[in-house]
Amino acid sequence: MISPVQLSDVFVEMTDTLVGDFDILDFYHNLTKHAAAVSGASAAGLVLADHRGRVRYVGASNESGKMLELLQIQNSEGPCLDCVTTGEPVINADLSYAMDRWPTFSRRAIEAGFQSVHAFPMRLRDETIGALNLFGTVTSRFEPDEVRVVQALADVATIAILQERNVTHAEALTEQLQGALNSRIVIEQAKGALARSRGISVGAAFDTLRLEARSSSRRLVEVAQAVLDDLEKDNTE
Amino acid sequence: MTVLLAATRLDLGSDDISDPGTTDPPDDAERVRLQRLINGMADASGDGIADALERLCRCAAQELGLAGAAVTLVPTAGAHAVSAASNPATRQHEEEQFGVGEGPTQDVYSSHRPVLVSDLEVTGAGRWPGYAPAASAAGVRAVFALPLQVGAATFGVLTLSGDVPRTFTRAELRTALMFAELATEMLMDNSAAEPGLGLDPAHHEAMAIHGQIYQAQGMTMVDLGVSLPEALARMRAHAFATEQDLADLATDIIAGRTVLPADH
Repeated sequence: MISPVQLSDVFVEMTDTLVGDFDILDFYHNLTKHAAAVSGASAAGLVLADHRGRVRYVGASNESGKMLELLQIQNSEGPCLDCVTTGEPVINADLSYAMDRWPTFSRRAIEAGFQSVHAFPMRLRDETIGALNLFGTVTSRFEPDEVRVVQALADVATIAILQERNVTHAEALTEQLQGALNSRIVIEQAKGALARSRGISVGAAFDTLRLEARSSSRRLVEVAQAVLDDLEKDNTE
Repeated sequence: MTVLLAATRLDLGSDDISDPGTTDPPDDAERVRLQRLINGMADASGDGIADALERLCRCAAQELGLAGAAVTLVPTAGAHAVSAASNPATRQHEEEQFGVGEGPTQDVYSSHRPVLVSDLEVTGAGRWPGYAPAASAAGVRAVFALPLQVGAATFGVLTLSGDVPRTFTRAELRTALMFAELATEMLMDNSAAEPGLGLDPAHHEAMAIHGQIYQAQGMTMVDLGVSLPEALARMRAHAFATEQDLADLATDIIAGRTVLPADH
């Protein structure tokens, strides 16, 4: 275990996510690196479930960690998948005794020099969004204190990840709302401008725009924008 | 029952100011209480997002003892959409802000911060020379506008308005912010927003715009030979000078009854 001071630095870093240059991929990598360092594990990996419940690899402390995660996902078996499914941690699993439970994963992991595995759920209330996995090259047992620390790290990381998802969602929604509003307005403006410039009714102007969109296979809003651009250009020339 | 308890608690709080901080219910309990109140609102029982926001607006006005509440999406000087309002007069108040091209709603959207004005007649005129008189004439004296936002992304504004000068107590401000949070969640939960995709169809209905204003803007652009933003500015100036609604002016422009004066 690392010192309390180092540990508190890790927690501060893991919660400092509301900054402008926050990069989620960096965050995944740092989380796994810290989890390995805090626990003394040789490798750590992180998997997250997407909105369809499919488990995906997102980051690891090193290449071994990545390999061990992909191994589980490709073979649909392993401690991290169990952990995501049940929401329960897998602690101190000795791979030599896990051949029944995860035959392919255990064999391949042992071949790669690993002996022990632990999986901690990334959980917020009832929702499990993923699992943080630790792999050891020697059969090492986690003491209850160590389990608590790693689970706490997984918990703060969960909040950071959900927060980032929320922000991404909100940014997308803002863009979509702005885009939808602008489209509607552009179409109304073009109806008015075309009606005036050709001396026709607003309804007839709308028909003209729609016909033009259909015959040129363009979206109505694109045609409307082009009409406005042309007329606005005439004004400034 | 919950409402009565809350009211009693507030009354006690105003008499006993020794430690009002300890009487607040936890956030989760307050959220559940408000969510139940919103769901229990009579009328506007449709399933759409606009209906849900309208229930929230009515509930917020009632709960905070205000004249009205409205949700406006992406309001800027050039475009805005009032999605829901607790009553027609409040919708009118929101439209008025677009009519004059300024006001608390737009300020919240551009600054990403709440705008709280306890008495418009005291502090409004210096800040919004166009909006303040219009709001006064419409009987609005206090305005509390709160951003609907997550992180730096702001997609709308919840505007609460009162017909008498007033301030929020700390508990009321907290309730108001909770309503803004609930409105934010409603909009987020009902959309499967992914970067690069179009707007969820459910949200299109919530993007109500005043089409005639923009049609008239297009016409004015052609009539006066000016840019689109300039056309809207000219319309606003004319509406202000002739003391009429921008919407009414737009109707007259479309009908050919009014032609804005050109430069000489």
